[in-house]
Amino acid sequence: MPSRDSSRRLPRPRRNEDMNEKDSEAPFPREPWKRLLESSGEDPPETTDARIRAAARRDLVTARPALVAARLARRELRARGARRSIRNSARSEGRSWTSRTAARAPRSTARSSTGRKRRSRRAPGQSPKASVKIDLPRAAETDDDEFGAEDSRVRRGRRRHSVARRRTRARGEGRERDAGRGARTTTPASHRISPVTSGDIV
Amino acid sequence: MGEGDADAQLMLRYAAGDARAFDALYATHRGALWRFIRRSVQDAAATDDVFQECWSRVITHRESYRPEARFATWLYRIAHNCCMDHWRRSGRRNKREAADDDAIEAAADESVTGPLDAVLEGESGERLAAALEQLPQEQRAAFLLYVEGGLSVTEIGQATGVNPETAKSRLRYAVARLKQALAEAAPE
Repeated sequence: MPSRDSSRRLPRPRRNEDMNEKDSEAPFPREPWKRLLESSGEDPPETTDARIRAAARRDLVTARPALVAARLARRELRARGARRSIRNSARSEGRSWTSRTAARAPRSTARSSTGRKRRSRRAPGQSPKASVKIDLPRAAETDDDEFGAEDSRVRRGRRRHSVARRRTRARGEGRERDAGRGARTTTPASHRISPVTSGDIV
Repeated sequence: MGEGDADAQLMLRYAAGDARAFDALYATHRGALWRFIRRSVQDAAATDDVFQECWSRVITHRESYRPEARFATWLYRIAHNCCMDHWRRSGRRNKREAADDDAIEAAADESVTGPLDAVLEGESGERLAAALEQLPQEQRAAFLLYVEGGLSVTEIGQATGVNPETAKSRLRYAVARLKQALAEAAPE
């Protein structure tokens, strides 16, 4: 039994005197106390051990399907998000194409309708260019059908000839018109000098 | 700290689905945790319930465990919370730790109680258990966390929600009281 002589007492340390001690410094040794506590020989019962270990395993097993389900749901959400972003980008691209082509809407409409026609008329294996040729309206279809395709030089020559003919005709009509106008305005028909009559006067 | 902790690694393995990691963890901590709870709740019948509740929380919250602190700190914090819940449920009144400050300060003077080895020599676990029962709840918790849980002063502060200075103060008073109680109860 330790002595309790009051004469041996040192001045009492104040409550928080050693509070600036480093935390790593142990306030007192653990081991003697720990040994003493362990000597009581108290441990959890085996049934408790078994119950806790079983619970730990059971929780892992029951958590696994839930975990898989959660992973699948997450994957599905991610896929949906990706699909939505693809759709949105396609939609925005389409919108920008529409705005670009809005200025020339009639042309584009006509083009698209003829394109549709061409596509429908195009024979399998035939190129779109070939179908354009087929669809072009031809001026002398009956003649061509009968005598074959007209040579472009011949066609050009014929066109030139018809133009020249038209010009000549127009020139002739102009002259007649001018002559008529001149007779009416300058000299009346009675005073008109005819080459035949001029010799008669002399 | 936590990364190099073998227990923390075991806990992470268990959270990843390794049941054997839990067995290893349980084998390491079961005895000390049982004694901590037994001494804290001071009720043999309730100890089993609180012990199972504590491990149940470890199992349930395994995915929220982050190895930022030692596994023992996390485990004993859960255990301390379970004990607090038990005290609240049972409506047990806590002894005021500051009720007899003078007596504690007197006990803290080592010249009165003598060196630790002399006090503990020939002691039995039963007498220490009886002395522990006389401690205020906060001091007992701090003492048990330090001795059974192996927690540092800072970790005790974290586990019990107080600053390290308070935790250290509680420890000092706890050990002083225990020494005094054991010295008084020692056979002549």
